[in-house]
Amino acid sequence: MEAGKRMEKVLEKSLNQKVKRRSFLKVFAAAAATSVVPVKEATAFSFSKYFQKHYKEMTEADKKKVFARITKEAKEKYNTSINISEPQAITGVKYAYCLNLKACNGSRMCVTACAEENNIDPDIGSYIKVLEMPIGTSNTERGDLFYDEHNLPKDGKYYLPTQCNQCDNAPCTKVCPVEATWKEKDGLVVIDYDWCIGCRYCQAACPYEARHFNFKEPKIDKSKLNTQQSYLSNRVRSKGVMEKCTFCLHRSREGQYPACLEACPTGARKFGNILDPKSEVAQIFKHKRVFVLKEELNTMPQFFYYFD
Amino acid sequence: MIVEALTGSKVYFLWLGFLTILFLLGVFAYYQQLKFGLEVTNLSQIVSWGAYIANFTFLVGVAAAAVLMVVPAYVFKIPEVKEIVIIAEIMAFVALILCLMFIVVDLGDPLKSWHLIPYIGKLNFPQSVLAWDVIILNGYLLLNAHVPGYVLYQMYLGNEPKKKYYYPFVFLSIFWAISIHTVTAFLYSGLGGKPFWNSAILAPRFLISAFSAGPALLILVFYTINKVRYHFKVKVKVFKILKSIAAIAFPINLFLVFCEVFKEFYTDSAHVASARYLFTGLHGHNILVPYIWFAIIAQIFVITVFWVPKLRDNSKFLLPACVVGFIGIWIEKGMGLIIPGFLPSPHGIIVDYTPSITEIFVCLGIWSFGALLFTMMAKVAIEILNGKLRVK
Amino acid sequence: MKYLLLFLIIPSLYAQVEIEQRLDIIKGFPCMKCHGSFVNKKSHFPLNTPHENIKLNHYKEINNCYFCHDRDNRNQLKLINGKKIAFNQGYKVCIQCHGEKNRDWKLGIHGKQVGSWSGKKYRYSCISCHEPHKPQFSKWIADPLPKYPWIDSARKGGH
Repeated sequence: MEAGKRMEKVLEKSLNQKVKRRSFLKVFAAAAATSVVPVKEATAFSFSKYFQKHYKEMTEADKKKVFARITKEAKEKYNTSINISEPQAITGVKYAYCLNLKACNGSRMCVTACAEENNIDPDIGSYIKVLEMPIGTSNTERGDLFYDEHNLPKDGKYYLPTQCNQCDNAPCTKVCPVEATWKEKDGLVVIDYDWCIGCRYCQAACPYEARHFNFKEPKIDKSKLNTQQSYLSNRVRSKGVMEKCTFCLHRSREGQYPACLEACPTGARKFGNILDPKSEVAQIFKHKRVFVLKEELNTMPQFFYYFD
Repeated sequence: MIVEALTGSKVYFLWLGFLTILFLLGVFAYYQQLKFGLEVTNLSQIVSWGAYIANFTFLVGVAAAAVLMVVPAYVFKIPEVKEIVIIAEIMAFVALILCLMFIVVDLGDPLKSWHLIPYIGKLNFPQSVLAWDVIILNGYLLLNAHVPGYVLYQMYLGNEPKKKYYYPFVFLSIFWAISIHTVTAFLYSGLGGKPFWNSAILAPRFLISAFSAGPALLILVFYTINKVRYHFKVKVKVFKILKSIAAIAFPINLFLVFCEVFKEFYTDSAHVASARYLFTGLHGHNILVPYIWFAIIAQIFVITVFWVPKLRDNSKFLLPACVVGFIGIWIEKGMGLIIPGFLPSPHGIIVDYTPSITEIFVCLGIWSFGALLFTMMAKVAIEILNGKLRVK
Repeated sequence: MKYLLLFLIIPSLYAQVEIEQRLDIIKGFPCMKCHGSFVNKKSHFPLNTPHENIKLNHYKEINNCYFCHDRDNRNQLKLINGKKIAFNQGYKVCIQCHGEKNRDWKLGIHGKQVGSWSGKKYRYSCISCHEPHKPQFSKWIADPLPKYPWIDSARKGGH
């Protein structure tokens, strides 16, 4: 490691900038490591994943094989048995999410719950970001992600949680070069993680910072692993692919509320089938004045905000 | 031909050796990236495209710039240009190879690249502009492999290349060259969520900056050829044409930049934030400011050199101007376009992005591979063009 | 006829919703266990019960406990019109004044409601969030922000 530190200092001086320690040391360390016995932690390389079909083209037999592979990989990596499901879209259902901005107090309990429910790598953190907004604007660029955690809610501020809006006219599904992401019949925008090539064009196209990329192999705490997984939502991803909020597809398609809604301490979140006039979300449309973010982009989000 | 590529003077070998070392360092750096993932770069969820895509965007322009030699050679039939147009086409070919390499190293999971192949994979054509780009770039690659390949090979065999086998493709490549850079610009300008890029002027800006940087590079390449190859000379007429193109293109480029700057700063809407980040710094983040102003001033210097006859005919001014102009366009179109597009993020987040050491080595590796490939191919091409290299 | 229909419709609306039973949560019920045997005996103070620290600060007109609590039977509450209410229907006391919130709450759009969006729901009652004696919320401490790798670069400079 000494040689590495010295080389780093030399490069820093000549490049006149701080060398990114992690990447440089890794380069050096890996050079040493490659000549030694392979580390046990090395990710199991599975060939079959690379020959797999697109999810929409898989037969039942294909799916069985794929789910068996995923279950086996999970067993090897986490020494736990997981369940891989693929709940189908329910006919006559189109999901909508409504968020009461008067009720949200910036607690970030939704952020934490999402991270645990969806087996998200800590570097990505969560699919939800809560912004502290000054009263008088709905421009998220003026929001503060790093707000002080104490004495919430603060005067003169309101709190705006953002996540994937499952847009009806999604820019992300439009730009994906391999159709690895698409909009399902019930409105959810999903990703086939094994088909995604990791070009990140969808991340550039999304106006809401809703898409996240795995820059490295996800490291999930074994004890925190959520074993109830589904192919299109919360199964553990691999490095180099995109992921995002799916309104907890593995829960919502089984009639349950997303994890963020259940965690919210103030009941600010409402979720359901917008086509059902008796649902909470349809009633919110009837009685409240809802709006969406960046409406002028015509993305037609299915995540609605309102003040009570 | 292979023997020709691998024999030469001491300088030639030193040059090839230096490039090979850089290339191998790049390969090693890329191996780290394959092993650990893109976390070895300084990319983040906020700035998710960086040095790789910036270089890709710039190189598409370099590839498109070959049309600036093809049109005088085949449309205006200027003999001095016709002599050396093959070299420009080879440059386009190499630039395209580098484009594809930069895309591959940017992918999170490159082993899945086969998903991009129509029918075998699932190419999202025609909805995704990136799908268009895949088809168009590979098409241009084939065009620029076929035309010089066919012509040189026929000459190598001692035959006269038959016009019907390459002329139609040459004319196709003229339109195709314009379209590769237009489609690459559309990748960016079609994104409503990135207001810095969502501008109609982006495609014209791309083409004009390509036509500025392209001649600058060609002047440098042809000058070098004249220096190292005693029995092959690129004629003065070629330099004149390239200088004229650059003398027009650089000012138009600056004008288009000014148009963009006016619209951003006069309107002063919320969308001006990215332009502010680039030109003046925003909220204490200002690392790109010196670079963009260097690029602007460099281009003013270049315009001065190209417009003053005493200066543009003096290689002591011309060559530095070409180098500085090339770098200036690289900054303005590469890092100066890609990075500010992401900042501030939709949630107002600004992060400082400079490429990591690994990223720099991968980029250098790819550029040096290009220089290596081009040097060897150009050497072979020149020997065929001047009649020295023929099949035994 | 229309009353018969209402009789059928309203229960079917409610059948899918189970409202939080306060009696499952309230400690010290039945209240008459203590309140049955004494009334206002100052010598029994200080009490070691939750009642000790109650400071009434709901609305200036509500200035005594018996506005909502039944003086004679502490196991229940009462409405302004005198009607007696069980603790499990404590929300009926709230909706005397908070009519619009009542409408929203009955539709499931005010307050927390968990369960199934398509099936049976569990609705929290008013009191699980709003302390009836002092409804003003105290300040909250948020969960920490995830440790994004880019956080240091983003936080430098002002905002």
